[in-house]
Amino acid sequence: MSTSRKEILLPQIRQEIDGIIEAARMIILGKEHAIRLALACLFARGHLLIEDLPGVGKTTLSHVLANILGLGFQRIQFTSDLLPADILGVSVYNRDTGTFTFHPGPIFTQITLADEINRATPRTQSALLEAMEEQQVTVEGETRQLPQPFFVIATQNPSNQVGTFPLPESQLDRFMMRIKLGFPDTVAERELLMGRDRRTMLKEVKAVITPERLLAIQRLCDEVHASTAILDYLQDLLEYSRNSREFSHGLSPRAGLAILHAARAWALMEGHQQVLPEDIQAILPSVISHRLNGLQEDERRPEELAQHLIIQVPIP
Amino acid sequence: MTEKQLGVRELYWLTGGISMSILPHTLHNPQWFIVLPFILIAWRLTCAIYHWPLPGPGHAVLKVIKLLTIAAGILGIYGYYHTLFGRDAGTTLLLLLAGSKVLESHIDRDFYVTTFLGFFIIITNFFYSQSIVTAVFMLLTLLVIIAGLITFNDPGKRQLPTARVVLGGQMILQALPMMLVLFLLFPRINGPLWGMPEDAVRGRMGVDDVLTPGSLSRLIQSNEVAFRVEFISGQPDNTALYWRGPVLTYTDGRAWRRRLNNLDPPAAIQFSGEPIEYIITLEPTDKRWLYVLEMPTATPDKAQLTEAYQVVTREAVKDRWRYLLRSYPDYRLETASWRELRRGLQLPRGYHPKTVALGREWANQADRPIDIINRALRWFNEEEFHYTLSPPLVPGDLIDGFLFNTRQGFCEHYAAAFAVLMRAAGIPARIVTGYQGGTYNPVGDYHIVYQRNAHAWAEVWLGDKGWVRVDPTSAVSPARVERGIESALPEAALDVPVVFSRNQFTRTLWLSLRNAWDNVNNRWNQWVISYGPQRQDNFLNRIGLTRHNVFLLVILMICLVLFLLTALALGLLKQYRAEKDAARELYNRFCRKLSRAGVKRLCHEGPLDFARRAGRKLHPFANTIDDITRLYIDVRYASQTEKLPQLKKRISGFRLHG
Repeated sequence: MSTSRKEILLPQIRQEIDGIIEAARMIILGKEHAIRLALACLFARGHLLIEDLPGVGKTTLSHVLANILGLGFQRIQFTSDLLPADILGVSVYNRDTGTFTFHPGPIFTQITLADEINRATPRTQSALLEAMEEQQVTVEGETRQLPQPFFVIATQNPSNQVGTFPLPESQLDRFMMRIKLGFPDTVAERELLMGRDRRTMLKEVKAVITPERLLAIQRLCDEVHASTAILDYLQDLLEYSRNSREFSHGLSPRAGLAILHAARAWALMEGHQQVLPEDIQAILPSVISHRLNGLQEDERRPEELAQHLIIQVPIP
Repeated sequence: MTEKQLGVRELYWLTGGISMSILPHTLHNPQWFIVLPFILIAWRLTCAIYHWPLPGPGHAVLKVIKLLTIAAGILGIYGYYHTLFGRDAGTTLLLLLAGSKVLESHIDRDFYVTTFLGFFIIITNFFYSQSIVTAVFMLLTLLVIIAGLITFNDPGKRQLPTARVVLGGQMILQALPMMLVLFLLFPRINGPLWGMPEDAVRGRMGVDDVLTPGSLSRLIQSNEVAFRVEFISGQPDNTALYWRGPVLTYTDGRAWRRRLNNLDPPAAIQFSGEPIEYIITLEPTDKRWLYVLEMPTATPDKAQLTEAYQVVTREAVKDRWRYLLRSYPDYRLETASWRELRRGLQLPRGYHPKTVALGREWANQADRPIDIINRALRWFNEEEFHYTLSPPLVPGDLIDGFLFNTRQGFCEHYAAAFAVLMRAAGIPARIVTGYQGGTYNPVGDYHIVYQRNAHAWAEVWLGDKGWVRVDPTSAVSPARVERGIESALPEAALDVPVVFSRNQFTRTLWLSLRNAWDNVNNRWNQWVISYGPQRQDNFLNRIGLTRHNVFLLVILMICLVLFLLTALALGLLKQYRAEKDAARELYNRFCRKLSRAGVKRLCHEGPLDFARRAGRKLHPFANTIDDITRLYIDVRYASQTEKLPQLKKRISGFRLHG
C-alpha cells in the first residue's frame, strides 16, 4: 500500500517542494541552493547550522521557512547571560492554586531559531543541543515531548569574532548540515535594494503546505531507495576520509548516516526515485564541512576539503 | 517497523489461498458449520472491496455478530462430535478459527499469521487423503499462498499476477532439493511416534467379520481399491483368485460371525503343485485381519494364522500395508480338531425349519457327503435361482424365505443357505468371506482388487479331503467366478461412464486410461506414501550406506541441508555480483564509446552529470545518451536488475558515427 501511495504522491510532492522553493526565492534573493539545502535538512529531520556574518539574511531565511511551511516559529537570541531555563521553560509557584505551573520556554515550537548560538555559555548551548537530540525536554524530573516536526536552525558568527564560545566538535556533530549564505551577487543585491521591505514581504507570506504534509514528506524520504551501489560509494567516501591522512580525523558513522539521510531528501527534491551519486555530491559539502578538519598546516577551508574528497573518490 | 495495512489485492490472494486449503474439507465433512469459515472470509473480502467497516472498536454490533457466528460454530462442532479434539473436530475447529483470523486481519502481522495458518491447513488435508489429486491441489494452494506472500512483499506492485505465480513456482522448485533430502533421510521410525489421530481411518468400507444379507452387496457399487497384487512367480487362473478373509463359523439365525480370541494352532496343511509368490499392498481397513490367496505357507510379521486359516493381525490395519506371501492353490487342510468340527455343525435352535428339514431329507437319501453337496449345487443350478445385486426383502425366516420363496440373492445368501443346508445334513460347514477375482492392470503389471470384488463362499469338511472350498454362487452364476463380477452383474461395473460405454473403442480407451491412472496411484502409494523404515533402509543400502543408524542419518541430513543452503546463498551472491558488475561493465563500455568521441567521464562524475555534459557536447545524441543513462540508473541504483538485458542491448547498439 505504502509504495503505491508513494507513486501517487511523488509528483504532487515535487510540485509542493517547487512551490516552497519558489515562495522562498521571492524573498531571499539569489540563494536558491542554500534554500534547497535548508529544506533537504528539514525533510531529513536534521537540524541546521547557518554560519555567516550578521546581516546576510540568516534570520529571514528561518522565518521564511517557518511561514511557508505553516510551522510555529520562535526566536531565541543567545547571549552570554542566557540560562538553560530561558530556553526550556520553568516551573513557577502559583499562589492561588498552591501548585507549581510549568511555563514552557521558547523551544516549545516547531521551528526554533537559535540566533548567535556561540555567544551563549557552553552550559546553555548544551541544554539546547540535548533537546535537539532527544526531541524532548526534561525539566524538574518531568519529560515533555517537543512538538512535531521539530527543527532547530542555529546561526553562528564566524568564531574569530570577539566574545564567542565556539561549539566543540561533539556538539557540531548534532547539526546535520552547516551552510553559509554569503553575500548576494550584484544582480540579486540590486534587486534587493530596489525591492520592497523584506519585513513587510515576510508578513505576507502564506503557508504552502500543512505540518501534516511535511511529516508525510519526511516519511517519504525514508523510503527513497538506496541501492548497494550507492552505499558502496558512500562507504568509499567515508573510507577515504579515514585513511587518506589528509584530514585530522575521518568521518564518524553518524556523519555517514547524516549523509545518507540528507541525500535521500535531496533525491526526493530532485524527483529521483533512488539516491544517485549526484545527490550525495550535492549535499556532501554542507553535511561534512563542520565535521571535517584538515591537518594543522592545511590552509584550505572545510568546503574546499569536502570538494577535494568528492574529486578524489571515484564513483564505483 | 511501521504497521503495514492490508490492501484488497493482498486480501484476494490471502482469502483465495485459505479458501482453497479449506475447500477439500467440505468433501468429507459436509456439515453446516463447514460453511462458516467461507462466510467469515467472504465477509472480510466484501468489507475490503466496498470499504465497509470491520468488526472492531466502534462497531459493537458487528463484533457481536462475529462472536455469535464463531460461538455457533464451536457449539455446532461440539454438538456433532461431542468433543473439540481428535482429527475431525479438531480440524473443523481449526478451519473455523482460521476463518475468523482472516476476518480480523488488518496489518502485516495478521497477514503472516494467517498465511502460516494456511500452510497448517494444507497439512490437515493429508489427514484425510494422501492421493495424488490432493497433493497436486495442495501444491496449487501452496503456490497461491506463496504468490500472496510475494504480492505483499512486492512494494511497487510492478509484477503481473502471473509473474508472481511464476516466481512462487520458482521458489517452490528451489525448495525441491531440500525437500528431497528431508524426505529421503529424515529418520523413519517404526510405530506411532506421532500417529494419525484415532479416528483417522474409521468408517472405511470393506468386508466385515459379521455377515448379514446385504452386507456384501452394498460394497458392489464401490470403486474403491481394496488391495493391489503383484504376482512375482506364477499367475493363477481367475477362478483360483480366492482372497481369504474372515472365516465365519457361528450363526444366530440372522448373522454369521467369526470366532474371536482364537488361540488354537492352525490346522495341519499339505501343499502340492506349483507355489505362487505375490506381494499384496493392502489399503488401510481399520480391521484386524489380512487377505491372502488360498492357501499361504506363512504369514507376514505381526500377523498369525488361526485354526480356521484366517490371517489375523495384532493391531488394526491403519496404514497401507505391503506384504510378500507364497501360496499354493493346491492344498489339503487335513486335520481339524473335534471342537472345530463341532462348531461347523452349529445351528441356532428354532430357525430355518424348512431348510433344516430339506438338509436332513437329503442326508437320509444319500450315502456320501459329496453326493449331498453335489445335489445341493445341482439344486441351485437347476431350480429358478437368480444371482442379483438387489434381492427382494425376505419375509420371515431369512434362509427359508430365500430358498423357498424369493430365490433371488447375492453371494452371501447362497453361501449362508448352503452352509445351513450342509450343517443340517450333518456335514461341518463354514463361510469364508473375502474377495474373488481382480482386474489386471497391464500398464503396471499388477491386479487390482476392488471392493466390488467382495465375495463369500463356503467350506465343507469331507473326511478324506479335509476342508474343501465350495462356491455355491458359481452354481447359480458361473460367470461370476470365471469372468468376474463385472460380467456377471453389468450394473456392478459402474466405473465406465455412460459417455464412454457406448462403443468398444471409447470403452477400451477409458479402461486403459483408468489403468494408467491406477498405476500412477500405485507407484505414488508405494514410493511416496509408504516410504517407511523398510523402504528407507533399501534406499540407503542402494546408495552404499549399508551400515547406518538414526544418528548418522541426522548428521548426514544436517550436512546436506547446510550444503544446500550454502550453495543457494553462494549462487544468489554470485548472481547478484554478476548483475552488479555487469551493469558497471556495460556502463564503462558506454563511457569508452563516448570517450572516443571526445567526452571523457571524470572518475567522480555521477551518471546524470556526465549525461548532461556529454549531451551538450554531442548534441544530436543527447536523447539517446539520456535514455541509456536512465536505464543504467534503474539497473544500478534502483536495483531493477530485470532491465539489464535491455541496457545491454541499448549500449551494444549505441553508435556515435553512422
